[in-house]
Amino acid sequence: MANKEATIYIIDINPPMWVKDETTQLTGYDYAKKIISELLHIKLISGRKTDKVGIIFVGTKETNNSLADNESYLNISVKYELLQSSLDMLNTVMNEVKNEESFGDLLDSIVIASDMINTHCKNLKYKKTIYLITDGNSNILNDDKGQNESIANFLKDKDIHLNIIVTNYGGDEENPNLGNISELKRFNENFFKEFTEMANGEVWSVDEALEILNEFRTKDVRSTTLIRGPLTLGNPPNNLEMTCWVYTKTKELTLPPAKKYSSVSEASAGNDEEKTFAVDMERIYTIKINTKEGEKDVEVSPENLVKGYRYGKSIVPFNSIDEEQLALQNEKGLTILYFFPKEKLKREWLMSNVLKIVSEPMNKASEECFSALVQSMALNNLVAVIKLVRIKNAQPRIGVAIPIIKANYDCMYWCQLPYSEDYRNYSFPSFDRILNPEGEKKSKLYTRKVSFDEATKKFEDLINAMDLTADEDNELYAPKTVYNLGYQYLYQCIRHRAINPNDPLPEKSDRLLNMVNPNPEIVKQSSGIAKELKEMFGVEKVEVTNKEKKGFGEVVDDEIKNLINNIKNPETEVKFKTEEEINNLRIENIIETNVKEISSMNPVEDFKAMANQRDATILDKALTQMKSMIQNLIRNALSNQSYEKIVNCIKALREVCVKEDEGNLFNDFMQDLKKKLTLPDLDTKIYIHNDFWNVMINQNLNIIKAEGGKEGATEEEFNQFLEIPKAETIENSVKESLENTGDIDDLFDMLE
Amino acid sequence: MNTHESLFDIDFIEENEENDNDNVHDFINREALLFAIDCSTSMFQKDEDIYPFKFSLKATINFLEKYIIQNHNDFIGILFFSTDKNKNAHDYKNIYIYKNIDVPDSQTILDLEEIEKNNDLFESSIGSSNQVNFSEMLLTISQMFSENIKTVDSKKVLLFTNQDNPIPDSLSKENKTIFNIINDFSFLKILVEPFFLYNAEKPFDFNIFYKDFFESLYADNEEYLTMVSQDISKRLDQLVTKIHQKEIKKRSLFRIPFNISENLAIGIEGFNIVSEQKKNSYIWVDDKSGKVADLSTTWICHDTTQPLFPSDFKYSYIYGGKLVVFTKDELFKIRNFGKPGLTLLGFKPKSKLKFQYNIKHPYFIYPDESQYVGSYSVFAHLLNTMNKMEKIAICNFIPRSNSSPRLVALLPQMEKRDKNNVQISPPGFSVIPLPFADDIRDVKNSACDRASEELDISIGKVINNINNEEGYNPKSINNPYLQKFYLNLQTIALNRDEMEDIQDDTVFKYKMDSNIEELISSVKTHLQLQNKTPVKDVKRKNNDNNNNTQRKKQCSEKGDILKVTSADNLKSYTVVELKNFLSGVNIKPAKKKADLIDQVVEYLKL
Repeated sequence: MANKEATIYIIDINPPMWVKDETTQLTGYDYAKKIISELLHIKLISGRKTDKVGIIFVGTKETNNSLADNESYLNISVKYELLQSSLDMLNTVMNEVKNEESFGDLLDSIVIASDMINTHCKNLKYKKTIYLITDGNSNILNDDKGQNESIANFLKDKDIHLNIIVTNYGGDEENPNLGNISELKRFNENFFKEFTEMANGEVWSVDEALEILNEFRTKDVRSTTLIRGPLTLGNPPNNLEMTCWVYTKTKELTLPPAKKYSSVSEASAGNDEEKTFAVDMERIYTIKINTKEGEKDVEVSPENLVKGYRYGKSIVPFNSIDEEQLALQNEKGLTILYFFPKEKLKREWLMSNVLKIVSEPMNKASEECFSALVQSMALNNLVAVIKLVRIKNAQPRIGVAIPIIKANYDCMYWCQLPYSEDYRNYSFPSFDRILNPEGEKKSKLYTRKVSFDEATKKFEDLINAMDLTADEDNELYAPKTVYNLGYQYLYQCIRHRAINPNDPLPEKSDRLLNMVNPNPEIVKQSSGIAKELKEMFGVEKVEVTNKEKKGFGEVVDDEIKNLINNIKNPETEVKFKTEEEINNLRIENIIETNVKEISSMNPVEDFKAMANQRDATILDKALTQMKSMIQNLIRNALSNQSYEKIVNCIKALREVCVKEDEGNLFNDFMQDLKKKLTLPDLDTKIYIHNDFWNVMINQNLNIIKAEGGKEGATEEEFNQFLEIPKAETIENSVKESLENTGDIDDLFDMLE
Repeated sequence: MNTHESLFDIDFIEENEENDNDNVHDFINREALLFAIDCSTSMFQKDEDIYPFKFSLKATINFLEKYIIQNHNDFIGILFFSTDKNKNAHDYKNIYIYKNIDVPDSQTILDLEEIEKNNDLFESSIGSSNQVNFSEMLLTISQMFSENIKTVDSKKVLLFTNQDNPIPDSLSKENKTIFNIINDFSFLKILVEPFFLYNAEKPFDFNIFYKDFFESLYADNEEYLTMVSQDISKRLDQLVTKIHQKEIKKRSLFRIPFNISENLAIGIEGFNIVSEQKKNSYIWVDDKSGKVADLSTTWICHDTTQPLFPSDFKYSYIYGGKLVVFTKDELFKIRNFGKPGLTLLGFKPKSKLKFQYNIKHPYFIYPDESQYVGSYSVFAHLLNTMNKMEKIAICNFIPRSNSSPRLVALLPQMEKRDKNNVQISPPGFSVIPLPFADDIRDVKNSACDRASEELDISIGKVINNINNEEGYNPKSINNPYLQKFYLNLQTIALNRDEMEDIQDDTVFKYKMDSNIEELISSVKTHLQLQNKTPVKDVKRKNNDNNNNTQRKKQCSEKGDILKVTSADNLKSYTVVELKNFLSGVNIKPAKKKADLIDQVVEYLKL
């Protein structure tokens, strides 16, 4: 990954490459351009100095290569020696090549390329690759079998990987395209196959090549200035003011969000071509107004709304004009507050992406002043605290800038530092009583079984065994060599799905995973030491067996808290975070036979999984837990959005009760729930969600009727259940419920 | 709130996030805080220019002012003990519940300010005494917490007292009642944070009572016990820092295993020590009625106009002009790269962690023994050895399920304490998210003109004159944008008629030597640099601010403050003018106008 690379692109520009295909109206060279632009694009983006690229054209009028004499290696030009890739190269390939009406030999070009690589790389560790792009329609001098073999062996020995990309490829046996290709092309393609087999190389069709090239593609971002404005040092009028341009140096590439897609539209009749599959969002703002009939929701139009900020219990309305006028006023630009010694800079305080500051180009005064500033900062080992205001009256940010001296220009890198509000002065217990306890003062957490020195020695061994910079030219896991896995894989999946809509998702390739997985070599060197450390410190996993200690309700609370935490602190959070998605977060983790507990995350799935285990004890447990889960969910309902989940739970419970002939159990539970929802005082936390009763009515969540010899309610009970109880029955119910608190309440008493 | 986006997307994201914020307000993760303030007579005696009682009240007010803005879902209660009057459910003597545990309101702050200013008011309404039954006080506290029906995440008592022995008659261990109550506290997870107000003249003996108290309270919680015993500050002024620390809730972000090798894993817990504090989230209020508007969102299928449930959604991306469709499960599968955890890949020299390898704020990790026994010990030794060898660790980091992996660098951070033994930097690792190749932009810049060596030297002299040897201290610079916002909010909420001025810490304030100023001028002339931005000086800025407040009082014929003859006349001066005057005569200006006038009155001996 982090290898130095030497890559040579050989492009066939013999006359056949310029013939237009009748159906596609594209020449072979058009395909070559496409492929080379992709290949170069990747090189250009990574922009690594150690990544060298060369370009050879076969079929030039002139001959320009080191092996040429007057007889052989003719009409082949090395356009670019091995250099860091440049825009120039791309320009040449895209715009400057034409048919030169000459013929060069492809095999010759491979020899030239391998010679170039060999000369450049000597015996150093390089990743060496040759790409040959051809249509296979020109004569190749390959009658000397022995010579072919020795060329192939040379490639193999030197570990040079040869890729031959053939336009209009017909050689694939599964996909015979033999009908319309010439004898010569077929002959050449066979030769390519044989030759690459000998040389450990590969032959690709253009389509295959393009697909692979798309693999690790990074978003092409043009660098634009973020700010063009003054950089001030000093107090006006005693100040220096330069004009600076600020660029983004690093910025997190975030996964693009997915758009909602309506499966209802997908299933509906009609022509797919005319469908949008779009999902529209409708938002309604309502306020509660007291009327004679009680509280009513009244819609308000968004124009009548103002922002309100909470101040303890009170809400302070702020219309946007107020807010703007009262906000801090600030001029656009950068202000140096002071300098400080570089060694006082705390790396762990850098809290944003990094910006690059340069002087405005073509502004001599500004350039010189800025350069002098950067140079003198570097010379005096100072860094600068610089305030940055991106546009007038925007929030000012404070940051540190370090001087960077490049070969032919000077710049600064700037990164945001915390304000006092951004810095949390948490304190944590000291490790003194763990590392070097004096006498009795050992911490309870002290688990070391050997001397301090022995333990330290072992850690030193571990650190040395896991050195990622042992090979200086090949630093492992260097940021510039590791791509964003999530992003790359998402694009692989999108590409895959676009081409094969009905296929399952592609597997994550090892090439992808290896970028962030432990290096087997390092693992081998270190795992023994780690094992010894484990012994030395008596490290043991704490098995979570004491779950019973924690009340069931508490577990639920915790999970809900976690859930909320996830919503509230999306720091490390990923996209697509609608509520119902979070509810379903764990779906994939559920292995049906293993569920022993209903979680608040996926109660329905857990419950069904438990019920499906066909074990009476587990079923009992599932029913009991589901009942309490439903009540708990109601108690902890956050808004009516959670009601859907509760409804689903009740439905699931009902379904299982019908199936298992537990009608009475379900009915008792529902009667109890009805009381709690309709009568105040029984359970205040449930009663505050009494509007849920209407949801039950709407959803027609009735009790189970006794039918076909199964347990259940009478017709009368069934018909009355969903009615709102009248005043006289309330009294009775209260009495009843006071006498008979039912098993659910007992359960909660036990747990709480 | 979201602190995830990078630097300049903030305004954009805030707008879009509004719908997410709407539904998360009333959530749990709440804290209940009870201020328990000793009112015994000695609290009213001056100690080194500070009245302990006034100090406690001021601290409470300052705390509330900030807290009320930032943590509007939390609960606060205030209890006075050793009072003359009593107010509590059981008619315990000398215990006065001033505010029940509830969401704080602005009135509480105003009321406390009143008490703080007006000693007589306190004397007549609450009063001071030298007696209290400490057990009854604790019982009252535990009742106050249990009466609060809402569930809370943590319950904390901030105890302000200068009595080292609140139970003089019956010495600790024998007194069963008190230890039963303390056990109750541990059981109910009520934490007590002491603020012992004492000084050299009146020593405070921790061992008489509080040692036993905390040892039984935190018997199962070594972390807290260590903190309490480490944090017993020696002087009043240090308490201020400690109180400020409490303003922010310490909240862990993740608890995951740290896989050092296949054979060795320990537990870690992650925190945010440095993370951008955003402006509060807002809600929508109906302009006419002042009522909070509820938002309900419904989803409609564009083609069929049918309402949709979340289960009707699939998800699409546009690729080559066509929709590529995935189910929700598939999207999760795409994002899932394994179980949450931090996996060690290896070590590098510290120097490999370049400045520009930064994309967002770091996390801070500390061991978590609840996952693996031995976590603390392994962690402490790894930290110590890495620091000694000047190494960083490179790890693969998956903070929670379904977050895609990212490489991070673990940077050792050793514990630092100031001269008073107060921890200024905790021991642990900073977890620095590293950019991927995709995150690093290659910005090409053209060659620039460089200056003469002479100029380099001149600038060198200038910057050496503006060199702050101390380095950057986050505590020294407030975010003026937030401060202004908070102040606006507070002024409106508390109905204050004077808009105070914020102090902007983000302006150039260095006093340069005059020869350096001359040097700057000559460089400027030499290079023919021109100022394009308007010259601003401090005075003009203040004027700007006052105009904006629209609350400025018109003052008639203001003269030199020195010539003022009565306190009443001083009222016509603005806060800024009063502050400037006081600064001019080397008096540190107070915050509020009334105090400023008092200060001027005192200075002028009116």
